[in-house]
Amino acid sequence: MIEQKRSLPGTLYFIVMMVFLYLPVLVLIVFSFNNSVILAFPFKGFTLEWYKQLLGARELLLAARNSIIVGISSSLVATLIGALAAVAVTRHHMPARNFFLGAASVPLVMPSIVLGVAMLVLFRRVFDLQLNLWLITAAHVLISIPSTILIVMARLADFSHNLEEAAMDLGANYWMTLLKVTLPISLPALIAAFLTAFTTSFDEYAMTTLITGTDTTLPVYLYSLLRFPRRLPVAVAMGSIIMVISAILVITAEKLRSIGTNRVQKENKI
Amino acid sequence: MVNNIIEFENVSKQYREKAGEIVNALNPSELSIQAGEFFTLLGPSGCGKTTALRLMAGFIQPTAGNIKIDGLAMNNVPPYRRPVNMVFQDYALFPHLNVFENVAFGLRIKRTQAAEISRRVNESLEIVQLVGLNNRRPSQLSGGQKQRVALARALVNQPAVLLLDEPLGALDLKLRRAMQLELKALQQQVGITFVYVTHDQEEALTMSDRIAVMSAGRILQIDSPQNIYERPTTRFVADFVGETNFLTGKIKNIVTGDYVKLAIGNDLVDVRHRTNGIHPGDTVTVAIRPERLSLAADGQQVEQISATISEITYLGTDTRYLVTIPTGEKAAVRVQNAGMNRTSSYRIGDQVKLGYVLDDAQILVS
Ligand SMILES: Nc1ncnc2c1ncn2[C@@H]1O[C@H](COP(=O)(O)OP(=O)(O)OP(=O)(O)O)[C@@H](O)[C@H]1O
Ligand SMILES: [Mg+2]
Repeated sequence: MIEQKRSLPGTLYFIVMMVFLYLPVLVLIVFSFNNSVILAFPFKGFTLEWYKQLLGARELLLAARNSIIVGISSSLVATLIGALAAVAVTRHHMPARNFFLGAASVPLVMPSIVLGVAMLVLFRRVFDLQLNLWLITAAHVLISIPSTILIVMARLADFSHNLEEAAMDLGANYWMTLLKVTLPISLPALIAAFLTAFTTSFDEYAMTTLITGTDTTLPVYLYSLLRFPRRLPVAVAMGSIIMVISAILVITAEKLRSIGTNRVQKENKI
Repeated sequence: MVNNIIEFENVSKQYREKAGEIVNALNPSELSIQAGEFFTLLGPSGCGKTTALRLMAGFIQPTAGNIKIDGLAMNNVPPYRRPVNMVFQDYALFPHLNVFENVAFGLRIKRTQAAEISRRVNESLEIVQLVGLNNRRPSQLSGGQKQRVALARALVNQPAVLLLDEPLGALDLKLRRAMQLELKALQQQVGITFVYVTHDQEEALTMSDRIAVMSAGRILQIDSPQNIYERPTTRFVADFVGETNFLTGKIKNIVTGDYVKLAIGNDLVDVRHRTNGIHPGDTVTVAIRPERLSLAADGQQVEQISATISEITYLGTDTRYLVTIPTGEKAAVRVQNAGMNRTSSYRIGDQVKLGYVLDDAQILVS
């Protein structure tokens, strides 16, 4: 490895980057402890009042619960579908493989507001359905699938198909092989895919707001709170909690992905 | 009657490339492997060795023909129902399982009792001389140790046939030599049929009971190591296994069942008659190993060809002469530097006679 000298411009660049990235987050967290309804400097004093109010905010907590349910169920489904698709793409002869991959990645590049309008038309006009949490879950599955496919696929492409052949050679049939070799080896990627899907769903606003009926998710509810300035600090407190949890999830997902990759790379070095 | 454990009846394999191109990885081939033998598939890269092995293991199906294992037709029998186990070139050890669990994998699938699993796993780890590492992960093992785990993992299932795809390919030369002897001893100890793939002719000669030499999707010759070396039937086999001289001659007459009289340049020599389909007047190629040729003055040898010495290389134990015969062809001669010191007796440009013993020359079919 080349030893890297710390240079002044490099250090400055790093500091500016960090401030740029994390200042808004920091401001949010700081204001969540500020003893004033108005979000402005200077600070009035330290308080846990907003967090206390948060515990009593029934609707807000309901929205949070909805978000968690939608997040977990849509991520489970998206991970399952993504994993199976990844197996199909990397392990089987698939006609039109590239077309399939391209088609599955469309939600990644399509603006979610456009997707939201499309969903609304589909649900209300074409099928005439009542908007509910299940439809939101289905929509979140759709936008999470590209990332789950890609994450699991990278993992499967990484480890030698020989391992699966070895399992079959030792007496395991297709499903046994999937269960005892393919799945355990891909587990870090499956968890990473799940966490990524969960954060995608938990954050989603633009599309979700269009297809929200009576039951609302957290981001949509928080946005609606902005109309009531007195309740804003509670939203800020909630935002701070989400921010911290999201950061933990993202870091965990990233760690798991790299653990998996390192393990395979070590394996392949004989 | 010999018991054939693996039989190929007219088996061929074609791969269809994406561009619609067809690769003939194995041309229609006959093959009989006897129970208990150490059988080697030998050939250069891309000749179809792995294809043949994967056909036996059941990872791929033949395009045409039948494969029988232990007398049973294997058409559409999946890998997990065949009485064979494979040792992969990259070992294919399960990275998420430790050494013990890797070896126990096959037994666990068959729902063997825990006590027996433990007994048999430890037994096979002892056979491959790898004890005390049961809890290590594959990533914590050396190449040689991984090799042993891969062997134990296959052997523990007591297969009728063990398939080995260049299992020593990733090891350094010294370890490789040691493992060759060990593998051979192990095969004799457990009495399992080994089908061994290698592109290393020396490895094939030292380890095998019989060798099938392959080239470009064809099996050219199946024979004992000695016959592959001493009696190659084709130019490819003679050339691939060891160093060989090829001399062109014309058949004068054939004394059937005994010898063939051959003209090489102006010299008339005899070659043992072993090759079918040759007739007087044919131009043929004769193969003779450099160490089976000798140099002498006129009249000292039975079969002799005139030659001029054009190169002398001292190799320590041997001296290698490159000689030119009157037809313009060159031949290498290896003479051992033992007894009387012969290195000084010839100089470049000397006229000599090349001699050999009747049985040491071989007429090739092609
Ligand atoms: N899945 C495949 N699709 C298309 N062609 C293939 C496939 N597998 C092998 N081939 C081709 O078939 C031929 C034989 O391959 P095979 O792997 O049997 O060779 P090999 O003798 O084992 O060579 P090596 O010593 O390099 O391992 C080669 O030309 C190879 O390119
Ligand atoms: Mg091969």
